[in-house]
Amino acid sequence: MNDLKQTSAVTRRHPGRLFLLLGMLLPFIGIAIYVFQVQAKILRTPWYIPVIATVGLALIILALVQSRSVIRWLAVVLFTLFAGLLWVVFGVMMNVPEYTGPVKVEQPFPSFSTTLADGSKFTEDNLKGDKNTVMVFFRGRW
Amino acid sequence: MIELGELEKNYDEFAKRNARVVVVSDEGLEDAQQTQKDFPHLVVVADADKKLISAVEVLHPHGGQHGKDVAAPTTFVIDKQGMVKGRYRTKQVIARLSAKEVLDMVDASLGK
Repeated sequence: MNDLKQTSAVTRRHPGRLFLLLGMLLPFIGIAIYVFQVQAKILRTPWYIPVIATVGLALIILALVQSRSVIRWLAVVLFTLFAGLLWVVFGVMMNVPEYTGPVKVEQPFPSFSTTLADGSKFTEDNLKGDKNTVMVFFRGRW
Repeated sequence: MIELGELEKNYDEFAKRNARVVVVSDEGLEDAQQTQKDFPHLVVVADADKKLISAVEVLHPHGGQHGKDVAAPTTFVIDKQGMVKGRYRTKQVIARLSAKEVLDMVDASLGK
């Protein structure tokens, strides 16, 4: 009973503190979830990271509305920048341009000549034969 | 390498569809040989001069680390006659088709 009274007293003295702490913690929870996602080998854009960071920012703003202080103002500024950065990274910087090249469905694969890992030549003629081909262009060791 | 690892793990599913998986990047011969060792059922192309990457125009200028030009993640399905049957380009650098989605693409493009 005494504990309850003490907690309630702290909440009255520092209204919105829980929102502030949770709001600051949330963006890092999003990043932690992404670590698990990669470990689970799911290669999807983690849109939840900027979304969760934005929810966190809303909580920090709520905390500021409940009680104003320099620290809360500072937290709003920093976490606005952080959430904004995440939206720019995921919404702009990670975009891949649409394919506009010469490979078109129901048309022959374009001519090319390159090298296989064993050093042998590999051309469009090697695509013709007894097997279908799935050609995957990958970026480095991802 | 999650993407290649998943393709390698499912090589028998590709084999059932009479398809081989050719993986292309601008790795040099030495790196490509290592990739081939790591993923023995994939056909690894060492396109260091970007000859194939340029021929099919999949270069993503400044898309790699430190602004390096790299191949944009793109998948083509080609039949035994060398005709293109399917094409997919990811919208985001860190997103990829899962092996199951590639297999579905093969089924849809070539007919199961």
